[in-house]
Amino acid sequence: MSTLYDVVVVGAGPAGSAAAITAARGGSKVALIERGIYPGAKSVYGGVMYLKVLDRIVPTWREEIPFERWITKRHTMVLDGSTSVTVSYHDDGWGRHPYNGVTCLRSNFDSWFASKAQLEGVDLITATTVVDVKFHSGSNPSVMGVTLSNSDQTVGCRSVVLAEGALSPLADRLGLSSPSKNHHLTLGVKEVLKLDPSTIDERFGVPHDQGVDIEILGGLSPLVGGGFLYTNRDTVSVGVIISLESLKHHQVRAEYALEQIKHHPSIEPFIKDSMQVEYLAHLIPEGGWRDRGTLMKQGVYVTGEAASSTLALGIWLEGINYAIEMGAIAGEHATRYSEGKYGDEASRQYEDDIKRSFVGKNLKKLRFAPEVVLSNPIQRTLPILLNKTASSIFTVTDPLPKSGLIKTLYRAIKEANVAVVPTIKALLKTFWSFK
Amino acid sequence: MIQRWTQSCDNDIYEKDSIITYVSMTERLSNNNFFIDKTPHIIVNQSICSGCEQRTCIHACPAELFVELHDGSIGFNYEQCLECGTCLILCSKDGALTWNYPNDGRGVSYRYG
Ligand SMILES: Cc1cc2nc3c(=O)[nH]c(=O)nc-3n(C[C@H](O)[C@H](O)[C@H](O)COP(=O)(O)OP(=O)(O)OC[C@H]3O[C@@H](n4cnc5c(N)ncnc54)[C@H](O)[C@@H]3O)c2cc1C
Ligand code: SF4
Ligand code: SF4
Repeated sequence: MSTLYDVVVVGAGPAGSAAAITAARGGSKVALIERGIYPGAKSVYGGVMYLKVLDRIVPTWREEIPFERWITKRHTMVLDGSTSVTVSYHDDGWGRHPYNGVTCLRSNFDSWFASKAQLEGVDLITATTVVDVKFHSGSNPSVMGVTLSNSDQTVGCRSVVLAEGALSPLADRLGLSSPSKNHHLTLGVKEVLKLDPSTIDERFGVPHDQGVDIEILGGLSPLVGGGFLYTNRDTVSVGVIISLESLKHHQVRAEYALEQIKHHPSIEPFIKDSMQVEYLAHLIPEGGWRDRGTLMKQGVYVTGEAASSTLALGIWLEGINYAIEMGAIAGEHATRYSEGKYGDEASRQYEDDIKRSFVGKNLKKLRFAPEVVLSNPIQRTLPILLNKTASSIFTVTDPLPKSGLIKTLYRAIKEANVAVVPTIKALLKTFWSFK
Repeated sequence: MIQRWTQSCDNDIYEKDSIITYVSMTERLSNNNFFIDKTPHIIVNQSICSGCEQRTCIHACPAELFVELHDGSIGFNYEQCLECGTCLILCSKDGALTWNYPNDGRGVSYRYG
């Protein structure tokens, strides 16, 4: 069997398409293989992307991406019972160049991004699942090719980029995944709800090309996790992200938690009278840097979420930008590997380049944050405390005299029935983990 | 079809009962695009499941595809699988599930994502 390609990329998600682009630009002949009938057909995410990372790969992205709305308002909403406390930030400037976050549907974005790879000469092969990776035998057991679900032949190549996403059966089978990855998984379930664009403008208070990002903490009890509500052009995405541990422990369904969020009086007015058009579910590896596993072996590069690239702070997720950057680096290295430019140092060089990028730096810096955000004090105590305190500050008590702040706090703590010292410790720990 | 369900949430801090109007899973999944494979991509090994007490798959699958049948065996419908992998990760018994991605672009095909 002769070698057909220099580099085969498994998966046309953000990491895979980025890898295919940089590998092709490095001079490789590249195949990008995707199991969905189009790139994005199997993709699920919350809904907001931060794409400045594309400046170096597709500098014209701002004019080209199939976007829904530019995010100009970010809210973090903390729910308890039927009350909520919200922190909001509005930045009209985010609606203009160079922008900040943007809502995009994955079916549109992944197809657009893969088409950029095709423009670089990459062969995009869809509706095809890669089922195995084959290696040469003998003294230099480097990669020989991949096998596909719809043919018994091996597609020959010199290097493989595994960008298969959160669930990574191939990396698992090759022994490249971190053994602890499965302990740090969360499950995201989401609905896409159809609404008139003008209704969205009115309810969220934005012009037609601007959008809102609402992150939600609390309101999922007894499950552990968070929620989100994002505006697209004529749909909104509402979902929850639940730790698998808590799902297993409490035996409460994730979709019930989603329903709980949707019916909270602070959320329901945004989505009422909408029509559900899609229901989606996907896992998220939240272990970050600790769970990157073996990043390279015998010419097989693991990248994107298969290598836990997502910066997941419980409810605040940045995944697309991290997957793109890590994928782009993997593509460059796979090209050099396929040219035989690397010896034994190949693996270390890839890992070093990741470490030097914002992916490695931020994942390392914030490595304790996911645990803290999913911890009991933040999940249970904080929502109750915040809501009870706000309630006593804002509820007029005439003819009783107003109580001072200290007394209000003290009463909230008592009403919330929480132990003061562990709570203060947890809040300090949270602060510390984001320092 | 709209069903009503009651869920009591108990935790160490406070208790509440909530009643929420809830859309059935059949209706929830009816708007998704599925290209159904002729052969199932996930196979349940009943002889291993019969010795499983946790039955985590039943509660954890977000598409509610696992059910306990009258004879105690596990009923499973692969056709509306969202391919999330939750059942594979949370199943407590080795070898109970043979789990593969569907072939040839079959399975769920998201239009939004
Ligand atoms: C509920 C949820 C909410 C999220 N919210 C956000 C958010 O708001 N913002 C954000 O930036 N990130 C978010 N993320 C994270 C983001 O989705 C991921 O970080 C990102 O998709 C990872 O990209 P990837 O290319 O590594 O993997 P994926 O996007 O999963 O792509 C993998 C691709 O490989 C294909 N594939 C897999 N195996 C094979 C195979 N054997 N053969 C062929 N093809 C294969 C798949 O079909 C898929 O197209 C969220 C994730 C979830 C689940
Ligand atoms: S699939 Fe796994 S969790 Fe479900 S009944 Fe069988 S052994 Fe138990
Ligand atoms: S992969 Fe997900 S949707 Fe499919 S059966 Fe398993 S848990 Fe259910």
